[in-house]
Amino acid sequence: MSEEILKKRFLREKNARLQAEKLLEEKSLELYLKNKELERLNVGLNELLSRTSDQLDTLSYEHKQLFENSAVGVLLSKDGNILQCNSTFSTLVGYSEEEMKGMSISEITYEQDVEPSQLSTEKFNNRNIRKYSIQKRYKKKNGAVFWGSTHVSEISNKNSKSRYLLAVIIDVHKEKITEKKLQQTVAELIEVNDNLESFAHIASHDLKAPLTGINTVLGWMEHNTDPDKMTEYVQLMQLRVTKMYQLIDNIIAYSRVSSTDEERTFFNTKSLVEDCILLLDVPLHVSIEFEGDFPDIMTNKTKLSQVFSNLMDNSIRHINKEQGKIVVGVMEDKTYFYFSIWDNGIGIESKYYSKIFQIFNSLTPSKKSTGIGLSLVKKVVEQLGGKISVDSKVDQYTVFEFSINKEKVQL
Amino acid sequence: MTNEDYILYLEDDAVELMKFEMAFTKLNRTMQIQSFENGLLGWEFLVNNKRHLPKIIILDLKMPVMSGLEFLENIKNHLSLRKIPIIVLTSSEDKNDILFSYENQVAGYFVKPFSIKDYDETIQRINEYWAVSKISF
Repeated sequence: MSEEILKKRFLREKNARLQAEKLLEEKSLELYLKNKELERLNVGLNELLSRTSDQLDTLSYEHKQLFENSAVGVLLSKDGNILQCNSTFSTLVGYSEEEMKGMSISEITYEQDVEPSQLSTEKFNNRNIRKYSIQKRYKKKNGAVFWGSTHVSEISNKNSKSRYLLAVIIDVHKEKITEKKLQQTVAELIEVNDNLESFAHIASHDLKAPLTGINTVLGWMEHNTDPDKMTEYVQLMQLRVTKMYQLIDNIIAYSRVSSTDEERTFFNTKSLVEDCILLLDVPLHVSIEFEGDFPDIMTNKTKLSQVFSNLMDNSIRHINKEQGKIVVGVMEDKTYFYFSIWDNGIGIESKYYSKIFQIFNSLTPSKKSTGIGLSLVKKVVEQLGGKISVDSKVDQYTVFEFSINKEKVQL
Repeated sequence: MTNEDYILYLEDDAVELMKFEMAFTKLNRTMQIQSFENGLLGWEFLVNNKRHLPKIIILDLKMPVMSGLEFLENIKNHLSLRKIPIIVLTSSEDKNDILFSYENQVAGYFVKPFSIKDYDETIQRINEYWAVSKISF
């Protein structure tokens, strides 16, 4: 029994081993194949990885080049402080890229433009806009100023809450200066044109009227030889001839004021006023006083003496008191000299304040007034960067005050 | 002044006024002429004489204190004075003056002629026109 049993068991075991060997062989082949595939995948993955990182390198290199070699200034900032800028911008402002790191935007902004610049950044922060543009002046390291057209956009970073601002700055200084000059030229042209129109206005009235009058009186003399009438006729004509002469004289003075080329001299303003007084016909009952510290200035003497002469002549003509008084005063602040001419004359009603400075607008029917004087004064004052105003109380006083910009009358 | 009809002439030039009076007399018109040398005096006169207003106003434009243009603007905004016909007689040929005058309802705009002969003719024409016109009061 036992031998047969043993044989059977042996056979069974042999079969099982064979089966197991076959299974093992199959599995190990499978494993081998999987491994091969993995290896291939790995190679592919590595290839892909290396390719992507190469690409990334190139990309950031290109970005850097763009940032660095851009023809426009580029600036990266956060919370108003400079993080980084390119060489173009560094050349523009004159600080090195290293110096600029950590500086604030305000430090390189022209004082007067700091506020508008900060204001637009604030607006930008408060509203959900992603970019804005502003034209502002930048302050260079050496203190010089240039106009930059600045375009700001946000760089969003999902991982961080802080906002980075990327600013592109284009130097538009030359364009801006040209634009300013153009605006000035246009303004000057408009003024010249206005003057021409005013001149046409006089030609059509103020010059024609006295001539027509003289012609009329001549006609009467022709038909009326009554000697009693002659004196009256001659007077009427003389009046008109004088009026016309003064008008032409004033027009010439006014047109001289308009000319821009002028000789500048250095003189004391008090002695200028004293010279003017000598040439004016000051009546005995009128006294003239000075108040303040009269400065030495550099400007066209003739023009400024026209201002003082006209204003003082105006005062003299409108004094109706027994004791006439004129006070010429001066004050100053950082930017301006303020001159004033005060008189105790008839005064001007406030509704006429603006009218009196218009050309050919005379308030009084006086024989001597041609309506040019005050408009001439206004013109000279404006050329000197100042303003003129009047204050008055009827029958008590009139005071004309005008300013002169110190920059315009420096040595 | 009595209750007679009269003309109001606002003019600052004495020769112009004399010339007008002469030309008017030549036409055998006996109507009185009341005159003032600026717009303000004319305006004050009208406001104080609402019961006896002029039949017509002759207006110069270039006058001191209150010009003819300002006078026009004032009177045409005044309910009881705006009905008075106004004729502008001026030396201004400025197109803005002409436009402004008609915009403010003037009855006519005449430029003062240089020669006396032409002047007399102009006054004669104005007179003829208004002699046959009806006036609203």
